[in-house]
Amino acid sequence: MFIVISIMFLGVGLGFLFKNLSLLNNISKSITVTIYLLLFLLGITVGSNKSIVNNLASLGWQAFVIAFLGSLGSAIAAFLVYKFFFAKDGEVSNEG
Amino acid sequence: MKGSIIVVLFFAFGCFIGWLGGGVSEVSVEVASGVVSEVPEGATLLSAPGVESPNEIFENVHSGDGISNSGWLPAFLVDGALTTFVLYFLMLQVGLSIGADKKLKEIFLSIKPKYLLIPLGTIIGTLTFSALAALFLSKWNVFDCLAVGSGFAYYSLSSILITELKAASIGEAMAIELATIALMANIMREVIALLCTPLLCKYFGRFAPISVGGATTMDTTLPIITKYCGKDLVFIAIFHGVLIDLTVPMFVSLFCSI
Repeated sequence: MFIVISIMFLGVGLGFLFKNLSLLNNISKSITVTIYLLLFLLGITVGSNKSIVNNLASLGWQAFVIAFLGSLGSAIAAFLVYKFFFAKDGEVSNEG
Repeated sequence: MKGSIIVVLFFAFGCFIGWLGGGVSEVSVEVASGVVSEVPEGATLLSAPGVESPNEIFENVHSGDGISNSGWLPAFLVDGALTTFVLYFLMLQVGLSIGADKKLKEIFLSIKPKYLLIPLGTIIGTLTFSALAALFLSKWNVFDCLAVGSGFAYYSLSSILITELKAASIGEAMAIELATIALMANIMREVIALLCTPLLCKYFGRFAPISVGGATTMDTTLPIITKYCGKDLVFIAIFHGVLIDLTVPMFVSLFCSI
């Protein structure tokens, strides 16, 4: 598990050192392509596993439970942070 | 929104290819990881498509279950060995993009320590309520739910990390199942953030869309947040996105290793 994180920090260091290379300006495009490739590969792994394909409907329901609760929890936390630390002093005004 | 549709399409296309070409049932995955893992890499490469005659391919597709990798897809595609190396490549690029960002220094200098409360709130709120999901989902324990929830809408990375890291503790088949849930759950969270921003802003305050957006507030959900919550939040949103982005691999790997 540490390999993944250390590779990312290696990238942060290299990116900081070589930030003037024009090659790095297009990195978000190549990230997108790599993500598509990875998800395609993940899709192959999922699709070739019969026990998952047959249970896709029940997995979607479980995913929704976690997504809904996670969103609700973070919205409540954001509400509390705003109310107790930012609303009074108007530092971040409501004008938009 | 457009981004997540394309991602779903790629994933679905992969599923379709895997469904057509793979014959791996849950039982045979266990067998494959236990026994056949001793086979050197070269041997699996030799069994690539093209070696078999079309007739055999047809029979394999239809005979399906029981025998490990009975389909015509090469084993390194089905068992996810290639995924690991592509993941390393992706993480290097994610790091490069953060390190090379010219506004990075500006953004961090304009941030006051107080703004750290927003990503902190995102993390605490998400993790607390994701843990509650274990009450409704009997199949998964608290840490499984936390691993899925700590994707913070970064669907691609969290699902791939779970595939790689959970396999050791709960087995490959279960890990892939959890990763599929993680992919769907985090895509749903991004869609919730995109669609509900006006409502969230009205009822939960100006920071709510940022917190719900999680790791996506530096790119996909940034335009809609600045539109509905005000342009002055743009740097807070990016700062929040970068920080949460960095925490995703840490939290996911932490909860996968417990």
